[in-house]
Amino acid sequence: MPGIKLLTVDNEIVEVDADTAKQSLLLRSMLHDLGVTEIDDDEEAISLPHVTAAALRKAMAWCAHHKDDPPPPEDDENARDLQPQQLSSWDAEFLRMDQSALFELIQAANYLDIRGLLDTACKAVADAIRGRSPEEIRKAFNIRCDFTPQEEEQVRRETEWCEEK
Amino acid sequence: MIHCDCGACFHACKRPDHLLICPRQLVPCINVAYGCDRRLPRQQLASHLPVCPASIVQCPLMLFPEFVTSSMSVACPDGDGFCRSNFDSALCLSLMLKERRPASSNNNYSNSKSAKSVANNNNYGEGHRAGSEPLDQLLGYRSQGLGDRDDDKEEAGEKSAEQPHRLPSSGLSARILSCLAESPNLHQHQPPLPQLVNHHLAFVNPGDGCPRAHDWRPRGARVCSQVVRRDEFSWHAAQHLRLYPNLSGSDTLAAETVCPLAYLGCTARFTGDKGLVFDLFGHAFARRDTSVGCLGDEKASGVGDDSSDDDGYCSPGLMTLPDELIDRILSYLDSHALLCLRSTCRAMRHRLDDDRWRRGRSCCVELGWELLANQSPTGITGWRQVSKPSRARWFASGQAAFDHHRPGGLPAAAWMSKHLASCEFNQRSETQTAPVRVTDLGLMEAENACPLAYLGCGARYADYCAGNDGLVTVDSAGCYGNENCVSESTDESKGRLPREPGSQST
Repeated sequence: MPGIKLLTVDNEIVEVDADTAKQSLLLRSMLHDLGVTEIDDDEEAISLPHVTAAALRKAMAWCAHHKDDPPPPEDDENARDLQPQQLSSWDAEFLRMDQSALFELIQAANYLDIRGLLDTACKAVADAIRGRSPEEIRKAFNIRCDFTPQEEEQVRRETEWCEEK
Repeated sequence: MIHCDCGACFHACKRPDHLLICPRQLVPCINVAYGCDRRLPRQQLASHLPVCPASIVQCPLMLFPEFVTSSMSVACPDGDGFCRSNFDSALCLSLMLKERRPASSNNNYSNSKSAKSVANNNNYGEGHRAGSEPLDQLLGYRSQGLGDRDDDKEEAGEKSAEQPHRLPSSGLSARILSCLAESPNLHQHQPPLPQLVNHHLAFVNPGDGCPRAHDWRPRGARVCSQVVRRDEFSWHAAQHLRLYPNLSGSDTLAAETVCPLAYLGCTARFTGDKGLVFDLFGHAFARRDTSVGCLGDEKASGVGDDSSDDDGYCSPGLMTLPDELIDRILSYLDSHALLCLRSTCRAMRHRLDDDRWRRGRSCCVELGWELLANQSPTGITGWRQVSKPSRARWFASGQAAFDHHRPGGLPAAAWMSKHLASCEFNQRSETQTAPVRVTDLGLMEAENACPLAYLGCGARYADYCAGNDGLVTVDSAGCYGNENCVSESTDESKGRLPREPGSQST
């Protein structure tokens, strides 16, 4: 199996399987443009400026597991189901990680253009937000409440109906 | 000759005329009077209307607790005073089926096994404003209801029963029965006849031949009344059915997890089962699934510690993600979550106030009600509907509250008897004459039956009356035509409550 070398933002060279890497549309087009077919020790690693090594490994692990999946359907926001979609158990387990790592992974997936992973990870974050009160969301995502008391009162009035008494 | 963007070619003098039909002309949504402030090209109007946030319906789902009406206990010959009747609801359902256009299976539901039925009626939102009926008509329903006994009783094999309270209005029930007979859907939804013993009819509209659906609100029934955008209504209704898969007695009664005297100001709520999401009326419509948030819980422990340790906060957080990624995450959220997120911080609030989210998939708009500046001499507070869309209230559609509900395990109802025994708002034998502090119009509309109806009290309250001028006056909660307010499980006074003339004003 041919492998390619990727240089991550934290100056680590990660060698990945080329077939797996081709799930990333960015890497696919890069490999296509460069005409890389075989690993070459002398060849320079491809530099990925926005991806950390940990996130890249994670992303590639996801790609390896999902390499036989059909390509995700065309993105249509309006067509998205109103019902929360359940992540597969493997994905749920896969995404059990530290919050910052998850956001790194999302950014990596976005940069590498791996649609399936991006969707899955975003869904996981959305699941974490859903069903929580504003206070819980703040706590969970470390969001600082910067409302003035007046604004806070206003917000409270606006959302009064949905809060649990 | 000028050429329009839309491809039309006409003389310049026809320009004003063309603007009236030009598909590219920006026009306000036709629901502008109802709060939608969207302006969009005329050709997109059609695609906008199905999702127009001002195109809303009030969920009419009626929840029938295990209700016992006083009229039943009067009429019931077998003496125990507690007759369960599902005939009201079945009849109600069939009449609605007859009168309204056929509804989808989501919207109509009858559980033929248990003595409960849930009926939905698409047009209930309009009919819901029953308070605008003249008071004497309300009284009319009441007395008619007391008097009518349904003739189907014979079919149910109860021929021997005496009929103690047949009033001269028996022709009415004949009309109802003829309606019933004509109703093509009746037999699909009606429970088997042998179960229908001692049924009783209430709230008959004496005005027209066939009672309107909203007159058929059995005492003790609770109405969902959540405002849902029209295109989301079927989903909303489906969630009700998911929530109450088998409407057995304890489940439905337990759904009223707010003190029935809440309209008098009692704030007691049953809090035994945390995680239930209540709507305005204390219905447990959804259950929060705490297990879903496990991801965030890990983060809460992990990142919370991090940030307290070092103020650097260099690791990427939700708010530090690029805009398009945040948008992508938000697009997976329902309106309830969006609303919660909107209340977290300024940046989120700003982002979610953007048109795209505010008028997005799950928002509704409703005109606001404004307290009148000058109070009427009688001291009754008036309300005026604010017609300016700028005062409209934006809120998330009612569909959201359903997410993550897991049915089952609703709490038992014993708490309510216990609470009522000590509830300071449970004033006995005295008619409530003090004005009700109305906190929400929806509450006013919903609470026009005695909250103890499920215990047997048949009192009706005229909460408000709307005049032709659009003014809504809050009436004091007088008891109307209450006869034999009987309660078994609390010490509610027996005997009749005096009829109180309503302090109605313009």
